[in-house]
Amino acid sequence: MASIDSGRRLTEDDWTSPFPAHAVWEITLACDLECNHCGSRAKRRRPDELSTEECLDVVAQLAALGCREVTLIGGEAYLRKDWTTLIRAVADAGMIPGVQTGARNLTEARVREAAEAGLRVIGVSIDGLAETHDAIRGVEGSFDKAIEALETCKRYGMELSVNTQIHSGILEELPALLDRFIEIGIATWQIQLTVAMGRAADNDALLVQPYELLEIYPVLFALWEKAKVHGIDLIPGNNIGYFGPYEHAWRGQSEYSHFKGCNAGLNTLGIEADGTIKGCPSLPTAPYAGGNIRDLSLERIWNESDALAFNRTRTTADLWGRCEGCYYADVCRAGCSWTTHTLFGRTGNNPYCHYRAMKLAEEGLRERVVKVKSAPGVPFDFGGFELIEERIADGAEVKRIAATPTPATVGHPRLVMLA
Amino acid sequence: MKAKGRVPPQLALCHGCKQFVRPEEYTCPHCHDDIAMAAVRNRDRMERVTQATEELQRLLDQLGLTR
Ligand code: SF4
Ligand SMILES: [Zn+2]
Repeated sequence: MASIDSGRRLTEDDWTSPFPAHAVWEITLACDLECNHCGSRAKRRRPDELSTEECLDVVAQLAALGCREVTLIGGEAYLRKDWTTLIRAVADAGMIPGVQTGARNLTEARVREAAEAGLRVIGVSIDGLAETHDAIRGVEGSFDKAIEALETCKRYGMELSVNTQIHSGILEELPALLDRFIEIGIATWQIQLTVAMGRAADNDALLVQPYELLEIYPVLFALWEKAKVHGIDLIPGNNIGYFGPYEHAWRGQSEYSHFKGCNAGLNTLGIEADGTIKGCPSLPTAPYAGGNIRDLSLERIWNESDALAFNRTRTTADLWGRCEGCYYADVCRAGCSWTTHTLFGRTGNNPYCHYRAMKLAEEGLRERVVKVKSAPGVPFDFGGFELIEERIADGAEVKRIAATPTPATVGHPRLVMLA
Repeated sequence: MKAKGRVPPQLALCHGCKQFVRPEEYTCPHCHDDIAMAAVRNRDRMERVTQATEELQRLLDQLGLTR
């Protein structure tokens, strides 16, 4: 099996010859939490989730495509009875198995079973100190359970990771959270901004505003420095950035490490529990479903679906708003597609950008987003937002941009079985 | 047929402001520093840091305070 580090490093060939190096797989939509920022609105299992045999076939297909790491998510992965069968199958196929969990019921028995099956990497989602986390997760005591699960997994020799969302109520709690993680001895702390998808689109007060990045990122950088001293790698997720004075440090600690654009369909793959394939697990289903594993082989979907190829073929021509003509346009291409599509119904303009917020502030301006359309209420859905540019001094509105999705940017036809 | 991906452009770092710049730049568009001179200053600074660290390590060893 590949080492965890070498499995994650991307080479130049990985960029030019896209293959799913890392697959994130929702094996069930069943969940024992009810998080009010959940993009997939997880609760009950999907009516047509893949069977164990179908899942094992997916594992074999992933391995055949050269996949290096498979992260099982939900819903809550451990609510599937065969979750450790899948972990074992991933490990036996030479890939690194991982699990991302809310950990409400990740008991020692489950941890032991998973460790025996070959689980080496566990990610636990923690979104604030106890009161904040429990309120977001919708279950009292879920913070304590998450911490307990980390400690248990540590005893079983797993590499510990914590995922934290930057929502509107967390900034002041981050330093105390880091202290807790130092005590426990986690290896990585992955941070991402809450995105306006699913229940987070319903509860849009949870979203931070683009101009708040100027306050948030210096705090995150100070935490990154402290975490480093204690051997914790604070990893900015794909919607954290872009550029600005911290990029060289937290994107990989070298002069050559910087954000290089959205990875969806380049070396990332997302699988939904009913077999729907996307270029990234977070992307909204409707516009980015490339096909279903029940209809077509993974290889055909990966190679032939436009919905998965959008990052391979796109240029800067689809950039708009302040991303169009940006100094970093051809490198960044407006950052995270998930973040932008769920706001404006299309990619190409990303107000959640550090460089952009700094440039705007130099002009005495700032940006915020306002919800104008609710999400319909299905998994991986989104509503609609307008982007307001205003003067910092008096809040006077300078510009209001409504998204105008075009057929070319709204989505891609999904591949279906050909006769 | 699978579309080929692109190798993303590689930027360079301006050591004047620690922001990324296009490799063809001579002057940083962010801090207006001379990029080559800023790199030299940075290298000198890093050398001094390395020397100071080695000296500190030597003293700690001498005092028997190294674990
Ligand atoms: S303004 Fe847009 S293209 Fe430029 S760095 Fe920010 S997100 Fe990327
Ligand atoms: Zn500079």
